[in-house]
Amino acid sequence: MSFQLQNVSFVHPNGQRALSGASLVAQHGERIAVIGPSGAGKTTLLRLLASALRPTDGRVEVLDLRPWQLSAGRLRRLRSRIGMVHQSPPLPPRQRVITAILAGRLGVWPWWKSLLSLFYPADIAGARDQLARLDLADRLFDRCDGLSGGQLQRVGVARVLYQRPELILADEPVSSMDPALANHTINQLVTEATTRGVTLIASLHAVDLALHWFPRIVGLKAGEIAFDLPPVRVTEEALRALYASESGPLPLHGDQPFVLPPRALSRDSERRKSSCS
Amino acid sequence: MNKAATHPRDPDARRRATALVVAIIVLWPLLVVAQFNPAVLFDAKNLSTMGTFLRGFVPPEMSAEFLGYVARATLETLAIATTGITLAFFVAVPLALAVTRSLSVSRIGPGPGYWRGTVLRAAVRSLLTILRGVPELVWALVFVRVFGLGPAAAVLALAITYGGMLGKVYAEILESTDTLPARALLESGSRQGVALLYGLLPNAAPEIVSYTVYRWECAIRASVMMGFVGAGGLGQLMDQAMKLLRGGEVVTILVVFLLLVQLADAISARLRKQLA
Amino acid sequence: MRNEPKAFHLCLSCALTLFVLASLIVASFGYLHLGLERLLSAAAIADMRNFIASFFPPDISIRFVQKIAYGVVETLAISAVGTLLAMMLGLVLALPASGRYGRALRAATRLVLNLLRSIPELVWAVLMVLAAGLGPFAGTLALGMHTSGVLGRLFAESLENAPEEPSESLRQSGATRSFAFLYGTLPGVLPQFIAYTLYRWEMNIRMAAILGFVGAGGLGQILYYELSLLHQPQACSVIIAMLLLTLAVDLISAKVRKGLGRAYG
Repeated sequence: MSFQLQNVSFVHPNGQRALSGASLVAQHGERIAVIGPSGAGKTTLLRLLASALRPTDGRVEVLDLRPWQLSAGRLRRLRSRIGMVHQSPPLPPRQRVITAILAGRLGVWPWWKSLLSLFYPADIAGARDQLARLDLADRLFDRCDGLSGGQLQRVGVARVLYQRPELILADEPVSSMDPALANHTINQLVTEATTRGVTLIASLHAVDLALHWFPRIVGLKAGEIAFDLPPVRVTEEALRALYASESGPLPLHGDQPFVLPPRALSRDSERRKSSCS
Repeated sequence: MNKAATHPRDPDARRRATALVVAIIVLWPLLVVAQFNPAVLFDAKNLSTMGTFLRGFVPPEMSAEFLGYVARATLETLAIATTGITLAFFVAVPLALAVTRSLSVSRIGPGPGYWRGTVLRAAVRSLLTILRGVPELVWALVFVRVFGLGPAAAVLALAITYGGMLGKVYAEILESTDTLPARALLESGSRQGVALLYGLLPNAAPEIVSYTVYRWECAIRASVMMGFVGAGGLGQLMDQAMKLLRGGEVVTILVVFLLLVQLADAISARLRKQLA
Repeated sequence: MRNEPKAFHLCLSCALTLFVLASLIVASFGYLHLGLERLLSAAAIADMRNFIASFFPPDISIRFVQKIAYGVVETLAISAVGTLLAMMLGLVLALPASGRYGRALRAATRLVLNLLRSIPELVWAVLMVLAAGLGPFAGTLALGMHTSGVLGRLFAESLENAPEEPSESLRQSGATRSFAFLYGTLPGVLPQFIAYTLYRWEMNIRMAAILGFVGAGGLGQILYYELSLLHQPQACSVIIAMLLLTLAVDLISAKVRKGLGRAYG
């Protein structure tokens, strides 16, 4: 099995409960989309799978290993088999795209190769091929601070593709892209997953993208899994219930409140700009 | 198939390689001129000298007689710094006033004094640069030849160099505070002294005081350094101890020096808060 | 709206502080027995005038100017190599001092950095002359030791304020701590490091010129030598050279800063 969450909870140090009693199992090669309003715990879920966060309760198993019972060296090796696409790509502004992409395999390269690559990139062709899949090959030698939000997100995806992990975690990977580009990028991620037989789990804000590309939809609301269904069985009521505003404030995306349009769920959602650093 | 397509090259590589080569070409002669040779540190004679010296560090010299010398030297250092800064202040004030444009009547409007004022300011500015440009240690070295060993050389060196520094900064402060009140006074015919006292000083005083106290702190460190060329204070004591390889004395003086710097820092922070 | 000039008034505690300060200043003058009256006597002034006159005209013979030129090059070399050493040592010490390897190591390295920078360059120079003999190498080491304390602390503060997301995400994909630092954090802080280093190099040129007074090479050593032999005209040339060097460095650095500002702005 690819990963397994058993009754996992996570509480922030300030007492805020991000995830309660979540249970989820995935086999190798599955493609899962996680949807839900902001604050539902999607990022927390993904970070728990990435072993970036330690669960306060429950049991996490990834790639048949329990991350928090491993030695430091083994944990590092496990992590190099997991790739995470961040919503806000953590790329140093003055770094060139080529170096940022090659950094994806730092967990696998021997130390001398990592060191030499600082001075002359060790695998230009490889990085260029991944970037070409995202239509950005001409920016290979540009600096990150010269790219837009959407372009940076694509560099982040290219880095994970270059890493060739066995488990791909994508946290809102296309939030800064226009609909056509977003579609193309998700296409690339899904192709990667199916071609290499690896697992892909992506949190998405555009429900239409999720329903179109993923055979399994997990709805998350207020830290709990609301449903776990194939797209055909996800009803409009279920979605409305998922995104309905609770007694608290309306969930905000950027500067526009997210309002579920009465019928047009197939239209794309809001565009959000994210900055590089 | 295009070779560039299968074996792409980094466009930056040539520029970086050139930069590296230039750096090495420049660095190598510098290392030679600086006589960079770590092996010298392990030369037998140097090691034994250093060893004797370092061994003397423990225990530090704490006899009552020596501590008495140290106390007197510390007071002397403090006195040098204080008198030096005071004299520097009196050097700086007229120079700053001559240079500052905020009090210039001639700049307000066309008149006979315009060129004369500009030339005077340029001359005084050059003087300030020269006063600042020669390190105080150089003056101290020269003055020791004139006035003999002792604090007088250090005090005068401070007066000259710090006078230049204070003068430049005072002028900058006077020019950067709000000049409207002064200008208004000048335009309505007040004398420059009045414009200074009532127009500029109230706003500028805190900054001026703050900088002067900060410079006093620097003066203490400078006084210690000038002692190494014979201008009295803790520095002269430390220089003598080092020449005689008396490690214990050096440690004591060093500790006292570090404490003195901390003390000066605390006093200066307090003063600046109080007066500003 | 016209700005009313403020009246100049003093509070009571300010007045008291000023009074205390004034008395301390007078006490300082008294303690030193400067004997300024003696200095301002007619004979003393005549002596001083003769002494100053003996400096002029400065010696500008080709032979001596060549010697001074070499002194300038030596001074620049001392400052450059010393600052370079300081940058390397400072970087090495800054990593633990920024808390990446735990609190105990952070406290220990910060103590070392403080010690390095509290000891003035001249004192370091005397120590290094003991360890390495007379000459420019002692000056280089002295500047290296003192400046590494200064730069190390500046670097450590930069590192503490640097964003951790880039290096954290690299550790997330299996990179070791060191490479996560090299690929994730260093690119962000390097421009700041270089700016600090260049700034200290400028200050170190001035320092390198006077370390020679205790035997650490450069223009200072030439000046000390000439003055000891009472060669005033030669000493004057060296002082003028020091002045010109300072002015040149100020001018060049102002130009470079303007140019760099455009690139980094």
